[in-house]
Amino acid sequence: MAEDLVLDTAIRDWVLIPLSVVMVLIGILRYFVSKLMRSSNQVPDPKMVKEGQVIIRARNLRAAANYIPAKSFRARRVYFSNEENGLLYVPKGQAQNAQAQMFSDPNMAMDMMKKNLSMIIPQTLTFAWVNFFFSGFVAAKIPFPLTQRFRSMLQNGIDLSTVDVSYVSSRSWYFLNLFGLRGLFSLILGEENATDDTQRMMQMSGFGFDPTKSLGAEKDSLDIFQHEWALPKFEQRAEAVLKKLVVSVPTPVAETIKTEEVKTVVEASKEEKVAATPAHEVVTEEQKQVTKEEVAEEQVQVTEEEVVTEEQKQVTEEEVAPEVVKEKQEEATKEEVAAPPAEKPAAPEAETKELAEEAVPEEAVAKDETKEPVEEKIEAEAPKEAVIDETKEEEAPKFTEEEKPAAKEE
Amino acid sequence: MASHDESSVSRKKSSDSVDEISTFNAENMQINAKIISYSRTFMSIIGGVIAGILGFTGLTGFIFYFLVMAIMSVGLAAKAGFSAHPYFDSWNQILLDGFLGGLLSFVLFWTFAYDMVHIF
Repeated sequence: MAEDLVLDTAIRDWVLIPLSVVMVLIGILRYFVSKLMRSSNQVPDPKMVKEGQVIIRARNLRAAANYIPAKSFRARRVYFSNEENGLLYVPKGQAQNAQAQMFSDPNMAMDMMKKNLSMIIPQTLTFAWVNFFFSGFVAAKIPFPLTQRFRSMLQNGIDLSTVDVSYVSSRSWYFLNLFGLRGLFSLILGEENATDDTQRMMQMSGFGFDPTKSLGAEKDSLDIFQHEWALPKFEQRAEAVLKKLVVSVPTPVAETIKTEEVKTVVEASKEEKVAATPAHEVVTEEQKQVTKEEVAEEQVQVTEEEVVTEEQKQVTEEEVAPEVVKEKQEEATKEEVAAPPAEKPAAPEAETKELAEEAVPEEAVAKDETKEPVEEKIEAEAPKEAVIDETKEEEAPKFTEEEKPAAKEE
Repeated sequence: MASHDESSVSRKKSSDSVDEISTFNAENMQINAKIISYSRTFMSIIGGVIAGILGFTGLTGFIFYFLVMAIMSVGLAAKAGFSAHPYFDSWNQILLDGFLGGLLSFVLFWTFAYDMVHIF
């Protein structure tokens, strides 16, 4: 008995299209109204904001915990979940207090009321309007068949029982629009649309317990977290990456690095003391010496270094510079002693041994500063493969020092 | 709109070797997920209109919907160069995410177009 009903075109003109248009417009209106109302009274409670930020910090720690060594992760975790003064530790008395305070706060209650009203009122109004005006006739035909059980739901105003269930009343067209336009709203309104029912439910349920329970939850999840050191082989990976870079780049880069260093030397010399500048000149001259492989320059340099050491002993203002100069002098001498630049792998090894020896008594600041000029100089002189060996060995002592205490503790 | 959105699938960091913990740039992942959802919504709307105009009824229409979703998945995979790893968490995100989310929009526009064309 599935005869095709012929429906009046007027139904299409005056029911389907207006209803859809009205629902779209009401959705847009609701979006803008909620945006306006939200921005007017936005004075956040400082205590709430502080707790929220603490939670964010704990979450960041958990998210990035695998990139810091185990010891530092543990130190941070203790800072958060310590019994006496840990940030996340909230004694039970305070927990109840905050929750009660939040519900009795009139501002909060007003906000919640406004949010709920702005969601519910347009829907109720539209539904009442549909029921009043558009009831009692067949509005549309849904293209797929449904069972008889749906008849009461979909054919509310139609009292003929022989009509196919596919022919529905306008109430069902309203509900179909209600659910189907959610996707359209997400396209035209962007991400902030509050027209989604499920989002509204989630917002309402998560609102009441935000600061207190989530603090406890964060503390628990932080305690549970297993630390896994994600960077044990990073120096090998860095070596691989550098190798790829180096193989593709020819030696002209070395010259540009040298010229850049000369420029930086010139600029730096204006700032630093006079005693320091001979150190930089020594650096550049050492580079030239090694690349050009000339004995005469070596002799010249030896004399200059002797002069420089005498000057350095006189000046005592900068702590780092003399150490830098001394190291470079020792390295230069070792280079001269070791070999002509053909045996360049030997030179970096000698320097790294030296660095490892001198790394212990020095401070960390001096260590970093000395490593950087050494790296620059060697890049300028030697082929890049030697650079990679040297950086790997340089990073290896650093990482093994860190890994050893971590391994010992674990 | 779908093509414009798909052209801005952004690359994000991920690990090179398999045995390490992979790092994902959260912001880019969000952008990619948003692009997927926009594309699926748009395609479901378009698919609904097409199904209505062509006069699909009943099961044929639903099959058409799944066909459109499958074509979308293939298109997304092709855009991502058939390798889910640098762009997304897993293959499931490309293939299955938002599969059923567009169903309601599809049905709405399918009903709308079908009625416009065939009944009235």
